[in-house]
Amino acid sequence: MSQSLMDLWYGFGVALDPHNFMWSVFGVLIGNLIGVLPGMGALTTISMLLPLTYVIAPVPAILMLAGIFYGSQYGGAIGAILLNLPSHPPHAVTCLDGYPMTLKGRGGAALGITMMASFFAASVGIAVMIFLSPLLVQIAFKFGPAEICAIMLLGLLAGATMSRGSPLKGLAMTLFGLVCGAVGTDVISGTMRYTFGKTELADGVELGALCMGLFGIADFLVHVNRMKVKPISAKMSMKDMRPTRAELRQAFWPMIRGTAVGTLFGAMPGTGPTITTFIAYAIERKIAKDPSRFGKGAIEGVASPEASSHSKTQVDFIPTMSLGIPGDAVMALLLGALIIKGIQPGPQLITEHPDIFWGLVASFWIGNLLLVVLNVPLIGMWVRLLRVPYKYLYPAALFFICIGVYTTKNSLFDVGEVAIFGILGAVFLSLGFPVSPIVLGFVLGPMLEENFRRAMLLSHGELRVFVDSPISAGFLLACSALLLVQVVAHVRGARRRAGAGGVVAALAE
Amino acid sequence: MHARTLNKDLAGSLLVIAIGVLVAGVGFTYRTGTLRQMGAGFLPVVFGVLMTLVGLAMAISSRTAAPAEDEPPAEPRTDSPWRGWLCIVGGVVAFVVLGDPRGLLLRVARRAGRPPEHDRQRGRAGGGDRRVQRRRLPLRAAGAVAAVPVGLSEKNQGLRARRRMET
Repeated sequence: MSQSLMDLWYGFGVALDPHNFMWSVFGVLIGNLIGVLPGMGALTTISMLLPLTYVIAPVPAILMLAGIFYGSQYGGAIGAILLNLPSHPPHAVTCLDGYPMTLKGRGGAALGITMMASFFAASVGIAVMIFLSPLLVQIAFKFGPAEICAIMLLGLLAGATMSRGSPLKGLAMTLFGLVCGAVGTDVISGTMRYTFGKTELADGVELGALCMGLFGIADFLVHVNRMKVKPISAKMSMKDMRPTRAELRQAFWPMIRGTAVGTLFGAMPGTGPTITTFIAYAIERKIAKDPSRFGKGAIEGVASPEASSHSKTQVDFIPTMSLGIPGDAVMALLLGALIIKGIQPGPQLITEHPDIFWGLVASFWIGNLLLVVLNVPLIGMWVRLLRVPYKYLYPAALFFICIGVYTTKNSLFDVGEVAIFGILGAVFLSLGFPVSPIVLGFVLGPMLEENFRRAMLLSHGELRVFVDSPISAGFLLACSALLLVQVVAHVRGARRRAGAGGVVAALAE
Repeated sequence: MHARTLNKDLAGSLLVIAIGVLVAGVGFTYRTGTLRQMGAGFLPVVFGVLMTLVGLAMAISSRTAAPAEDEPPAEPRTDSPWRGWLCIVGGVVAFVVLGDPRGLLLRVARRAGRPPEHDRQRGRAGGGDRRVQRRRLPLRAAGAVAAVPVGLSEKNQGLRARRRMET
């Protein structure tokens, strides 16, 4: 306990180091800025700015990426509340009650509540992270290759099946990501795989190119001529953002409940923030005295989902940092950035790179505080940014995507990869496939393969090793339970047939 | 709508099966080995086979189960999307093609005889607005600003090509 506090003190030292602090501020600011822009979710923002981090040291790079992440997450809430435009899927729930509040003239209060809820929830999430991570690491040190394989399998399965839409489609995309991860030189035998004779592919597919194709170009292709800038009447100033005393009282408990939901689900690998917010919203509606108010501007419907998504975000860093298993695509991206920097994620990360881990923890607090400080005076500017027409926004984004990918390795080949993944992603999206599991598979693929082969070498090709160790057997049991739940939900859904919403609805019940 | 989503599911499953078969097929050309001594092709083949199986499962379930629709219905297109698609993909492809030093020479030669304003005539209209050409000025400014720090290095070839496409 006191050790954790000491480490935290050290972390603040790292995070407040002028150089690191500068990048953290820059990340939060730019994340917020781009997150506000319509159609730019956290994933798009991070993948666009990923190349920027290649040139800076690991610690400021990860601080900046984390800042971009929660900055864009917060920025997305602004668009959701004021314009009914969810640029990041978790905000779809915020729209349900946030936009009606704007129509009623209380949009400012909704934003204020969002800010408080996110700060509070993030603080709780950080506290959990501080005390849970070292514990988890102690357990994680007992993990051999077989156990790591099993937990990765669990993470992949959860990421594939718990995202939105059909679990089978998610599974297919995860497998596709694993295949993409296999492209390049095989580490053990040196064989070139799936390179089709291109030497540029020997190092594998470029993470930045993959992400920008899937979350940038593909998105643009799907949305061509579909997006219209909505007129915005609300004028926002600092005074509007202060909620009334009654609203505060109304939002207090939902905020705490939302935080609890987010913390709980954050500890589970693979449960995306979208599901977390849906569940938080469903709980609020279930326990409300008058459920009919929801959807018409109930402040509880804003406070609870926002709190849950922010606490989940923070808690999500626990498995990512201490086990090296990312919970969702954003975490996979952050992990990928660390790997590019030559830092192997896993249980040894906290002891080998305490500056990264504790600096990151401390920077969360600083970053979340910065968000509050930034957003109160800048809200007027954000509102104006919401009106940027797509015809300027998208070409400009395209321009930065090309430049960003090109400058990473000065390779035009990588820019071509962006185009290919963009087209592929657009095809997948239009067929109703979720694309974010691809990134999860892509980042975890090489690690999974390495550990699987090592485990097989150690056990002389006996698959029994996965069942013999109680830890990995437990994870495999969880995997099969997950599959069972999906099958049951599927059968029930097929029987009902009329019921819409599929797995998400079944889970939210 | 219902029939269309069913078709979409079937098409998706066919695509997944196709990728799976391709991956497994190519994977077999690498040494697969045994569980005890795995070759480079072992896991790729496993992934490919699994993908094929998932695709088959999708094809079966697309016939029996009602598709889960939790996506909000997309806003109807205001215009034919082809022009936008062509411009977006074409922009990236042109970056690659013109980013090549040979592309630069070609561009300089072409540009020499033209007034600078003329360069930015064709617009990539994401919003379906046909009168965008005139309103591109802020973007040009942004492009020019972005070009300043990068322009000094060798990267400017690609950048210039890109700027051309921004027009």
